[in-house]
Amino acid sequence: MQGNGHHDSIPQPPSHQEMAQDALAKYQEVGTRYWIWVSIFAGLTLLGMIGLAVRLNDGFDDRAAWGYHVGTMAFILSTFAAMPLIAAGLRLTKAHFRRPFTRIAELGSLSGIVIILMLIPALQVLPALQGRSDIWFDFPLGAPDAWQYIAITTMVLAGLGLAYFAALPDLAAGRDHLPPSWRQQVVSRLSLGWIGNLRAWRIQYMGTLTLGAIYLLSYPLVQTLIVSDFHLGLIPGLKDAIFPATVTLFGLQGGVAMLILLMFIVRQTGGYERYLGVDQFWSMSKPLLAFSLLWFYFWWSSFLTFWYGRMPSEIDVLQMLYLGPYRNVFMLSLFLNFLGPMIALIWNPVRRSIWGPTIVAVGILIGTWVNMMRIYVSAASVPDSEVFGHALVSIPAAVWPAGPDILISIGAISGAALIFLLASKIVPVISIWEIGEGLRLVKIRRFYQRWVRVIAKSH
Amino acid sequence: MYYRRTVSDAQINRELLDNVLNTNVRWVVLAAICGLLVAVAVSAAGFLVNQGLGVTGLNRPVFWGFFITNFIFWVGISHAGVMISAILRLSQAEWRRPMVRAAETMTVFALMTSLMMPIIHAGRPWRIFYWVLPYDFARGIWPDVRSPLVWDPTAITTYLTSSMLFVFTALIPDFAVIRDRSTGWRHVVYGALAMGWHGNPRQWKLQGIAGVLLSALILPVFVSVHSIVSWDFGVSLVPSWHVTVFAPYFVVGAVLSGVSAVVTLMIVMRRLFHLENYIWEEHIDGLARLLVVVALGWHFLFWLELVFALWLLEDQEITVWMLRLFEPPWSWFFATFYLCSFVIPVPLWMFRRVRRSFQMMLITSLLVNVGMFFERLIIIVPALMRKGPFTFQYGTYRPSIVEVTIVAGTFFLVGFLMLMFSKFFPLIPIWEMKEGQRLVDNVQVGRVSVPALVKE
Repeated sequence: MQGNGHHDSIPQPPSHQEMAQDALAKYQEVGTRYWIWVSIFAGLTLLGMIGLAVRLNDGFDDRAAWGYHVGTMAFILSTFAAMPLIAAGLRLTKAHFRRPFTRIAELGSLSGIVIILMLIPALQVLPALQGRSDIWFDFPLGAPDAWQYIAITTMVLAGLGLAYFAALPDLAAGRDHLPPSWRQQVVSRLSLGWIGNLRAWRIQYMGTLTLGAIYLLSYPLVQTLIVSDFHLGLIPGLKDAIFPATVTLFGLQGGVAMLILLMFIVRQTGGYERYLGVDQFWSMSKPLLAFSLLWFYFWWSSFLTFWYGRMPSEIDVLQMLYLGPYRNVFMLSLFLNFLGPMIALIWNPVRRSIWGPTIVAVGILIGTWVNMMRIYVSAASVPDSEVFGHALVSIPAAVWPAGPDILISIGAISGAALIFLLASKIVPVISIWEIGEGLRLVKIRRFYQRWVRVIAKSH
Repeated sequence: MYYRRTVSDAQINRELLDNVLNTNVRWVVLAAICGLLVAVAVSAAGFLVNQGLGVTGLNRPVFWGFFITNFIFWVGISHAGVMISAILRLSQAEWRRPMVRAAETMTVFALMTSLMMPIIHAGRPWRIFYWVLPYDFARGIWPDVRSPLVWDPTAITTYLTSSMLFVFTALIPDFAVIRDRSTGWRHVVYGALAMGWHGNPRQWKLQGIAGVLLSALILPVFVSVHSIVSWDFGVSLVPSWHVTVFAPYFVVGAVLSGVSAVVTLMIVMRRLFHLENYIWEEHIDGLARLLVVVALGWHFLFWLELVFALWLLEDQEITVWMLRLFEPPWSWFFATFYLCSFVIPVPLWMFRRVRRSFQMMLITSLLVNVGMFFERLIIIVPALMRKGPFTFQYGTYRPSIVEVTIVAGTFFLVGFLMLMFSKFFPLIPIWEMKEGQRLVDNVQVGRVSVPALVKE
């Protein structure tokens, strides 16, 4: 084994009893600062609802006016709602470093409620399927609306089930340790009488794995449906087979970035420095770098094919999405999602820090927002007269956000954050039982001249 | 779960160097058979060079056939090395240890074989240099650097060079082991190859850094190789080839094919060289789990290719797909490809009993590569068979006996090269196995002693 001198002395980890007491004490605290943040996010969510009311009042005839609404929905799908993928994937691969942040990641599934609510008006602005390119090929039984709802609801229910199943042992801990209050009663009901016998643990283990696998399979499907109906199907002449996979990848990158940002916030504001340490940020910065490189690879695969094809419809698409009215927006996203992360994260000292991955993650989230707006606003701006044609007749001008668009975007993101914040006081924001399990599986031992961690393989 | 068997250093040396230091009858028989069949294929290739491409089944409008199919197939197989070695090394997957050397070596031999295919396909092999190298300065004729046909050899030779460096770097400690156990000319040769290796801390540190650096640097090359092969097709305007998803679809398909080939190779090696102490059910299980993930990703990309081929309802695109899906023999090839690559093996791999059965894994991994060969064939040929605006003659393609002989010979060539390699170098890295043994531990959890690994 090659040494790098970083672990000449590893501090002895706390016992799982000490950890549980500490984490439960933090879980019980509901300070003034918490309620201030809840109020702020609730206020911003209310503003978003006002923005939505303005848009609804204007009706659904002007599709271009709904571009930012759809873009915001896709942003939440590609950030908050992508986090459970990470929890499920790391649990399937039994990655030990995941334990302190799986709960944060799984709570991201709650944002699915916002996505479903935003999907309802978004589907109203889609043009008729007949006479244009779409993924449904005259598929019966209510395409696209019914199938969109079925796919997204499946994903959201799997995510909520995953979060709930994984939280059961901690809900039972809350039931047994919270002082009598309405909160304790809610937690007690939710814990379903969990007592942690062998059968219950087995069911819980299989449940989290199965629901995680369903989430992993349904997420690419949902991204495919959203991007097919709200982007590819609205731009005549655009045939980009890679794009559903590309937006799934954007989701993975955005999900990791959002998770790192939330880990940082929870660590700084909740006093969880002992649990969310450099190891977690370091470990997550590696997939973040990989996804940033793949971001470019997927985009390049698409761009190069169009560039070489040079058919009139392909040149129009390149003009519309990359080289024309949205060129600067695209360049900003290229920098924030690919160049910046690559330049920063290629260095191990940056990856092996708290601040490095966090700053990069914030940049990626801004880049993802900008990118989603470019993708969905540009598509929504194609007029009905052209949507049913075979190629673009003219390149639509860029659509910049109006007041209601900004309110909807801020409100929806705040809504997702508000739900996360509220849920974090129903279930502990870090997974106490998983950390406890991890502590039982890790021992510090002498290995030749130095101290090392010995990690047992669970299950 | 892992490392349930403890093997002493002396036993590792003895068992893994058995084929290098002693002569195994089974090895001799197999090498002779493979060598003979390679000689037959070389004769066929000589006949083709002498007679020209007329002895193949290639004719208007299908000028890419078995040779190009085989070229893509072997480039695909070559993706096993980096997937297994570099990615699993970077992710510190412990179960990689017995399979890295074989995977890396197969990468090198598969790449060499794949490079031969376009050269043979040219009919007059020396003509290949006209496309790749500048040859006529006086008239200012240069290869077109914008052509993927120029990117191909560049990427593949870069990948071949870096893969050979990768194999060589990881072999150095093992060279020293053989040097110390051999005499005469062998001692001199292995001594030179070991480059003064004595296993001091500085050398181990440098070796570790080189392994990690090469793993990280080879990854972009790994992705670029099959992407560029895919762009041979993707940047053209041939219906069903001009598809944006081809690059990742080819890369992920190559990984599926390559990792399956590693499974096949590991099971054959285990049987041939009696490596039961090193290749266990757990290793094949780990590879099968990896294959499930890769196969699902590949299937997602395959369906995107199919759905978006029909997206604009273009006549030519639909014609090619109708040919692939409904017209024999292509529909049979399509069914074989889909059943063998996905429908049969993936559900079977869901069962732990199958994943841990050497027989079942041998069958399913072979099935995947049968399917992947047909996949490449149905990507290439039906797309060229269609009637286009400037195609005045069109028809089907049937490989000639010369093509079949040469293509079949490539399989024996790779087998022959692997056997030759195993005669001079250990196919399972000795130092990696010893390192793995030292990192094994047990942790007491309640009343159970759980196998554990030392981590930094």
